[in-house]
Amino acid sequence: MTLVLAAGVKTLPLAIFAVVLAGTLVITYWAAKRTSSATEFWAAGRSVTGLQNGWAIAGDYMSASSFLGFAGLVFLFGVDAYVSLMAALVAFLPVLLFLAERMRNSGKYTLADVLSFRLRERPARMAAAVGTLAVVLVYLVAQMVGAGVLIQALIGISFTPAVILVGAFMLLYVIFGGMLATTWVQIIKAGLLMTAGVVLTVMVLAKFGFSPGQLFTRAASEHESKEGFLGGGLQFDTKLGMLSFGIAFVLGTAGLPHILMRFFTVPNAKAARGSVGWAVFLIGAFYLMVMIVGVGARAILGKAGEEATGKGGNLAIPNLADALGGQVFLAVISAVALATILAVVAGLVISASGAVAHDVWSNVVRKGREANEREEVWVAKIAAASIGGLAILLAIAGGSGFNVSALVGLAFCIAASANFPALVLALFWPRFNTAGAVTGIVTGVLVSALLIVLSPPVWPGADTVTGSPLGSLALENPAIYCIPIGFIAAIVGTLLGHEHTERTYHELFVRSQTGIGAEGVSDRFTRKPRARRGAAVATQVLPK
Amino acid sequence: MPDGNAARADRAATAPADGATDSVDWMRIERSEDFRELTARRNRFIAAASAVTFTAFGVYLVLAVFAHGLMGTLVLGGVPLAWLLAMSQVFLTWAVTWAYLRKADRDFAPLEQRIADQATARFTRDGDSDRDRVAADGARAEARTTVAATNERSAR
Repeated sequence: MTLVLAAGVKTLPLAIFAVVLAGTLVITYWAAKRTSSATEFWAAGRSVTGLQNGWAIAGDYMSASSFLGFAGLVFLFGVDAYVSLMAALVAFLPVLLFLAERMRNSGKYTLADVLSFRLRERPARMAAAVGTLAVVLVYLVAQMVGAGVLIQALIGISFTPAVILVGAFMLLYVIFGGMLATTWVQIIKAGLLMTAGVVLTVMVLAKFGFSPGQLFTRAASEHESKEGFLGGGLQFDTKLGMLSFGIAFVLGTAGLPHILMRFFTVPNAKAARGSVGWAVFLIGAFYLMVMIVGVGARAILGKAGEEATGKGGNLAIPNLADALGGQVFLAVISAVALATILAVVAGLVISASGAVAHDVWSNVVRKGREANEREEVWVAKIAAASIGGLAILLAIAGGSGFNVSALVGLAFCIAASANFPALVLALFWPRFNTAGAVTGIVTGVLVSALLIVLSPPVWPGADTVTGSPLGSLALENPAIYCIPIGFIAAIVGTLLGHEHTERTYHELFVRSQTGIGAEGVSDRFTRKPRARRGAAVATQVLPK
Repeated sequence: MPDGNAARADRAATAPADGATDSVDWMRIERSEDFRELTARRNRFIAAASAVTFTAFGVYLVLAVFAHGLMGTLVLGGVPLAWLLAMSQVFLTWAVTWAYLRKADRDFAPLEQRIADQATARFTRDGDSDRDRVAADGARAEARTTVAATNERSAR
């Protein structure tokens, strides 16, 4: 510890953060005693209620970028940043209307379960695992780098030990406590975050006599471009870039494996849709508060405070907390921000472990035969440790120089252009087949990676738009190109493949719409893992 | 939800009786009146809800991207229109979510339940042959109990 506690450590925030960490360890211990089977490990025994799951989704979804990042963007650019906030919220409507109940009705632990229902099991699971791992790894590295930078700024522990600290706790939760520990860490973090939001909002509004008009007037007068702060046009280089950014959020959320996985933790479809309801309520309320707090930061910290908020304005909220409530309040807000990161990375790692152990190991390597549950859980823990370890190493190797927002953009692009098309087509397109899923997912991943590399913030030596080989078409977030390409690849792949899966489409369609035979709801008609394909043909029952 | 029970029920469910899946005639369910009504009504709702929210979000997005002057207009005692429109997105999202949940609980869930009830009674091969009738009756009774138990659980 002496090495970690080198120069410049801020004791007060560290102490409060330590209390939060201790609390999460107690939860992990409690959860570990209740976690042994595969269902318990990945789906918390399907015992999470709709309300609890709603809080957990909110905790899973609202990363440090929702809290510090969005408020910082509002501080820097004013109302332009509202667009990303609203896109991130509206994104839950496709999840509610198209996916939540259908996932719960037709899957078991991972989104590959839904795909493999209709498609040839091994290639479909491999492809889905690639999509999941690509999103998770990129998002995980982004979160870790962000965590390292933040801990350095807020607590004073230097970058490398900070990343290792976050990584170690993340692995503790997942490996010992599984989904149950992850869920409760997310619930508690969401509670802390909402409380912090309410307190900050009330303090900001109180400062301006609870008059939003005064708040906005003061904030705008503290910005170089008064009109831009109130009307927009500051954040994005191009209009197309801004549109693309919004679309990436709206469709990317519906392809995030760690969010979709949460729907398997509830007992039935009713709880699944109810949990989205709670999540939408909580996230919406929080974003309403972020809008105020970001403007408040501008009004209170002013032009003079710009320098101290760092790149991307990430430290606007901590600095605002300092200005409003002094050192103790700053320490509390810092601890909340750090707890925020822990809950998100734990959710990411557990979804990746599902992709490796349940999809690749049990169903591809073991071909679904010899694998038993105990082994699956062990493989899951090893997978979690490996993926977590890899992310820690990548974050340390890349260091604080990694462009976090480009990585987050990449994760959302892959989710929106690889995972989302495959899921939607499997649930709603009778003609869809294995070739389509594989080409769609692989193309989505590759195109996203390629276009992010070519994007202005990443392409070497060129910070200007014209620097990229794509010229003025290069976008910071290329979702507006990636998503259509992902869909087209999946459709073309399907049409080129000769396999027809209409028969199983009908089964998946009926199951997903009605919940007949859903995992852990009714023990009648639970899907048999093997020998489905031949049997499905035989099912064409003679007319009565 | 009592935590232990659900987990145990779930473990039981991972070992279904052989052939359970194959005895359901999914196509027949899909053609049934109840199912068609369920999907038609749900699709109608989803289409309307999507149209409303995505149009509203699209209008907001286009205004935010192109109409900076309008968005910066100060209204209601000095707040920019951009803030009010952004907030309206939150309220609209809440409203649509609430409407869907209400509709799902009141209209869709009972239909789903009815289809699930009939899945055992009418659409399995058990029900086809006379010599299986006794067995089928047994299965039906069993299914009813299961469904009742499921109902009870989802009601909680």
